[in-house]
Amino acid sequence: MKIYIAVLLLLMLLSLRFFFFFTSHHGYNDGEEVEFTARVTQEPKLSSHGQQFSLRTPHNDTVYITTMIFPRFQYGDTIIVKGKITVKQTKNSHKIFTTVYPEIKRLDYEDNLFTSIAIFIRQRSTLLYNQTLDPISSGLLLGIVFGAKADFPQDFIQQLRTTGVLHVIAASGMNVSFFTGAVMFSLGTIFTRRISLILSVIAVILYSFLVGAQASILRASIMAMIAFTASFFGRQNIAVLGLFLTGAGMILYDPGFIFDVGFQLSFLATLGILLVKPLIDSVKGVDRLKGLKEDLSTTLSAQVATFPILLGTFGTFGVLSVLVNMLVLWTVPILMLFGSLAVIIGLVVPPLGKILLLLSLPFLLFFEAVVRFFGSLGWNLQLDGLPWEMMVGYYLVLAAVMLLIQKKKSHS
Amino acid sequence: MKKFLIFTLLACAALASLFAYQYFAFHDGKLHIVWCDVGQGDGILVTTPTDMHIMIDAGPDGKILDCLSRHMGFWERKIDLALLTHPHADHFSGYYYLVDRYTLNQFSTEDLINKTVGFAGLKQTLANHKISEKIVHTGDRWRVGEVLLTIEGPTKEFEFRKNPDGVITNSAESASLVTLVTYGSFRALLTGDAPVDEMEEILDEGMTHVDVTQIPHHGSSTGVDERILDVLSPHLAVISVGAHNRYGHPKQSTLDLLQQKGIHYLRTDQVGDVEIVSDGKAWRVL
Repeated sequence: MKIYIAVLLLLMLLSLRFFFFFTSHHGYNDGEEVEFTARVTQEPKLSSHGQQFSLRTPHNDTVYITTMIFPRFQYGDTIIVKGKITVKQTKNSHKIFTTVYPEIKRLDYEDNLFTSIAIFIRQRSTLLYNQTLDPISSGLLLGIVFGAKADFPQDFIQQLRTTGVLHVIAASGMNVSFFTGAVMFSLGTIFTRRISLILSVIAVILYSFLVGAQASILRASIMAMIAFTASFFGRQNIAVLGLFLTGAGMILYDPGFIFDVGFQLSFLATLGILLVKPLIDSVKGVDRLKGLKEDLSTTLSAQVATFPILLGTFGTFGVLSVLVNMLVLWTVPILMLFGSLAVIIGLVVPPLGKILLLLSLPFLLFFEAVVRFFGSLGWNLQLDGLPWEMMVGYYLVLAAVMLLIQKKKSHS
Repeated sequence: MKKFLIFTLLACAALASLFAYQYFAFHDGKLHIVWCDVGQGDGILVTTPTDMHIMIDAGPDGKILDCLSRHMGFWERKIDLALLTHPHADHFSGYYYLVDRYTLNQFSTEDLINKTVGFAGLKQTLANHKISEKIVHTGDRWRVGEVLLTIEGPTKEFEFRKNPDGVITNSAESASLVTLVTYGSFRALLTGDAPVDEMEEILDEGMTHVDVTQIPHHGSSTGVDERILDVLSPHLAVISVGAHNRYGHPKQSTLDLLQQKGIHYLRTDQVGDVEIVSDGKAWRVL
């Protein structure tokens, strides 16, 4: 009874928060003077006009910025933009907000120790990545480890999209979910539960600190840690409840999260690892995969749970996307490990960091080759977003299948 | 832990084979000239038989980096000499990207500036990376092993005559570095966006036959005429141009002229990177 009252209260709180959030959401008028703070989430494009990138404002609008070549901005920088908005209409009458050469101030070294360390690490490691690897490889690795959106050639972005793996580099939250899952469950096969739990918590905290504690990564780490810790000790129900409570808390903090693909992906991926993974593990024959078992069942369950979001959000859906994801996703935990170790070690001994990065090169080239090969086949299904009925349908079918398996299991 | 070791060993083996493959593919002791497919713009990589890398322009954006990774080993991160034929964005913007990822030793260009945001950005980029700048004119040359790079134009007088204030115009082509690459008996002419009067002056100074020439200014009609093609009488012409560009490059009149003179040509918008290899005697298109 108490639980129901608590849930009801939470729901009321959420709807109030939503109401105030969305009534304040406004867009801009042409010529309006604005000032807002936002985080750069993509690597700016450089051209003779200067640097170009888009920002998500606190009111959930996207503003395209053009600014001078210097000072150079990086993904992860938090900046204060002050300028005049120009509104442009696209063909399908979407409004696009741009501001050209606005005043920009970066929240910088002076502000606090934490940001300054984060900025320092990010700059050093971007430099290390860029100076060691070719642009596509370094872009992929920056995307996988830091969640930075690199400035890829247009044809490669299209291929990432048609093969359905754009999520690997565009929304890092999901990576964290299954990195955390993979680390925790893999360690579990070597150490006792308590030790592997402590080790993986340390690994995840270190990791999110390293990559500059971006919102998407922090969110995913917190959700993943709370949920997996409970599940690790066999408390699946508490784990699911913990995940929902954390998720609700985050939405309460910023209702915009609910439309954030990164949030959706990391939430669902974690839920998938909690609920679907045990079922996959229980399938006969999976045990024979030995060492690969944990990676495979972790990635697979995350994929099953996030499938409609990936499909709906990343526009075109390649018929081959499931196959391509299966072919490349096993490299992601390895790349995250090599990539983040390279950052830590590279800070102390840069040449050693470079060697670690070079070790990740074969996996990155494999990743690129798979995407290029299947991307060039061009077997894709054009979808202008997935209708919500189909999404709901998918999850209902998934739930039914899971219940069926569970029932069979409890019978036998 | 065992799994980690296996993956590391796997990576080492793959990396070693990649190294062996690229080493033999790119270090054949020959001269390579690559007109990179950078879209609308110029970006040319010259690799000497002694493995020095020379960049002549860097294209309009980051595409130059993809070209370099196609033609250099993954461990090679040094550009020994960088040239800029003239301060227009479709020739220099790629340098923003290049300096972040490669060590650039020398930067040489003509004595003209551009009053754009982009050019100021380039200057600042070079200064931030402490790359020294050198102004070059007709007659300046570099010897790299047996390969000779000679600046054939413009002269100081020509540059001044066309741009008395030292500022390049953005609407018309005024003066651009023209570089002759020679190796043994092989000669290739890299022309940037040189206008006809500059090319004429170069002919007047005694320029003769070359094996390969670039058609100036992306195949526009402003860079070639009959006499230029007659004197150069190249076996191959290269046009560095982007597909569907808004300037209508290359001009049909230029293509007609090449056809009429029986000169075979390759366009980067049609074939991608154009790579020429020479051992100092013979040469071929790769």
